[in-house]
Amino acid sequence: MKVEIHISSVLHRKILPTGKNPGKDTWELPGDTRVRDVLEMLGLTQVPVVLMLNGHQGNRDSVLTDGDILKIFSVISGG
Amino acid sequence: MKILKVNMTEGKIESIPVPEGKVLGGRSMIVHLLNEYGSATAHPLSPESIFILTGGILGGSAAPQAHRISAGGKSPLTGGIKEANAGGNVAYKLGRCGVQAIVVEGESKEWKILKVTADGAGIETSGDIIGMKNYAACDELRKRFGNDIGIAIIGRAGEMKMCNSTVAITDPEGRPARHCARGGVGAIMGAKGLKAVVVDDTNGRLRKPVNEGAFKEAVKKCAETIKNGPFFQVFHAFGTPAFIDFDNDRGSMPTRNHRSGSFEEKNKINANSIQALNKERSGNTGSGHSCMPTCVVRCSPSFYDKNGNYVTSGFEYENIAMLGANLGISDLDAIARMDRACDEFGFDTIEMGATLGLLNDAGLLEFGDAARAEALLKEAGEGTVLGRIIGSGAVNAAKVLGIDRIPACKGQAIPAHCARTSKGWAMAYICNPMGADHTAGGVMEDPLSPKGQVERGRKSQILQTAQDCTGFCMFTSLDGATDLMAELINGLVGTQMTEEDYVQMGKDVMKQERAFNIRAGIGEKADKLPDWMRKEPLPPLNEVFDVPQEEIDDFWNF
Repeated sequence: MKVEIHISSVLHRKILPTGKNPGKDTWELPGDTRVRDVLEMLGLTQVPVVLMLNGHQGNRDSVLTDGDILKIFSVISGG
Repeated sequence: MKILKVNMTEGKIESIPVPEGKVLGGRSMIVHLLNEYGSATAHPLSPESIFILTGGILGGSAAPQAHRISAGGKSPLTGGIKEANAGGNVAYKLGRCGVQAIVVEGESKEWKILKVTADGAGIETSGDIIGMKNYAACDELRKRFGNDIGIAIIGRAGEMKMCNSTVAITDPEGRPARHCARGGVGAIMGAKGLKAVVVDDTNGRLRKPVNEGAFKEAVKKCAETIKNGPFFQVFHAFGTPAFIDFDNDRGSMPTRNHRSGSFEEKNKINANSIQALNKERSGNTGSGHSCMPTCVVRCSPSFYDKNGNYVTSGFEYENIAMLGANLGISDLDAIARMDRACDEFGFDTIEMGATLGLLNDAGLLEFGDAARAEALLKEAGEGTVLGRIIGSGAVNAAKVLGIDRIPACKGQAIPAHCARTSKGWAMAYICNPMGADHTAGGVMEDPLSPKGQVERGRKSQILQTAQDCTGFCMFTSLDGATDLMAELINGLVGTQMTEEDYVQMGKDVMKQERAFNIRAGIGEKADKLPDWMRKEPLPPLNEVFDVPQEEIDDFWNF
């Protein structure tokens, strides 16, 4: 299945391990992939992020399906 | 731009210029005026203490989202310096009237209203709005002064001079849903006999920049930077309730009086639930509302009841976590009603949620009992004896009730990011001169590690303090854009500020605030987290707070 993954630029600059592209990318993923698997592939399991899945708030347990849009934002402050 | 000096004892208003050669607004204006006209040793509610209302350096200009209003003075809650800021339309209108700040001294025996226009200011009798709830009182004020006014008003909590009392600020729709909330600023204003400040900018105009071209260019850059910010989309789509899933998942949402960092019923109160309920009830998600004029992010969430009627706005993460999870309550309708009740009476939701949470230890509230929590909050607004104890804030209530497990620093309740699992952010609870405050400098890196947190906290607090002088909302994510900040200020007021000067402003203000506290008797040893947070593990991650105190004691070496 194809999933569109967006990664915020700050996240890329400050936290994301080298070798991964920021911005928007379409990924080919096996069925039953969860959001946490994507975060693991990106090396972001320990990084505080907020997730948007198809316009709703996503969480790490959400199962991805074909055509999903997953946006990953770093959290630097908030309230 | 001028400063209005209002003497409530004599009923006189004097207009004084902003001091030559100084760039002052928000936090820097408050510490400046306190040093000039206030007292660090006087009782916060005495005629010798002063109340301050001020916009930021950029308030009332064309800079987007730069119109936060600061209320301040000596806090009756902490006994130290206090600056509490909010959105709304008051700073924008004050700036358009050419007023940078209002300093109120003395004490009127009768309740008064201060009316400010571009042509002048006057003190008037309050009329019959005393004792009214804030929404109705604002309706009355609009009948009297016209629809297009901005209002800063104290509720019953401020009238009763409770240590937990806010100055409510109207949003662009005229609803008193934004609050300078922390530290009992409502009581400082109430002690002056001042019920409301009404601002009519009909004859005012946007502030004229000294260097028009440069300012315009900087404003353009600023709007682009905000839109491209790391968090713009999330805040615009969900508002701060996005933090419910986020903080809950990382074990940092206070649950049942800080006995857990995760709430098993969080799915009933998170952003998706709020939006789904709103959509079903009103046809829209309730998100995307501006709390202040010129806002780009538009993050303020509203909530609607079963009949599709508006209940509250500014329905933020902090309010939902402190009045919901922290009380073991998962009924969004009840949480929204409590949020509205806090807006109506003029209570800080953070202090209120923390205080109600403590009542469980005193056997006065079962976690999850929403009806009882609502009834207790109502008692606080009515000023019964128990209500007054609740309205006195977490530390005072705990004192009365014989409780030693208190989630507070320097007298002010800890907000809804648990210190034990947000160890860098906790520096904003521990070292900040205002007492525990999550807006004093957020740190999200390595939240469970004790290493490097003092340094991160210091850096973040310096930048946030500088930003709190400008009037900018923290959700612009502009705190690190120091070059752009300097450009904006230089363009508007004609200074030659460098990036370094801008950062230095943050440092200077923090040190001045701390010096005020030391004069007020709040010494160096006050920079600590409650001991029990170092001993009691916070489930589910079972973390204790373990940043060494020696490192924390080094915080002020800058």
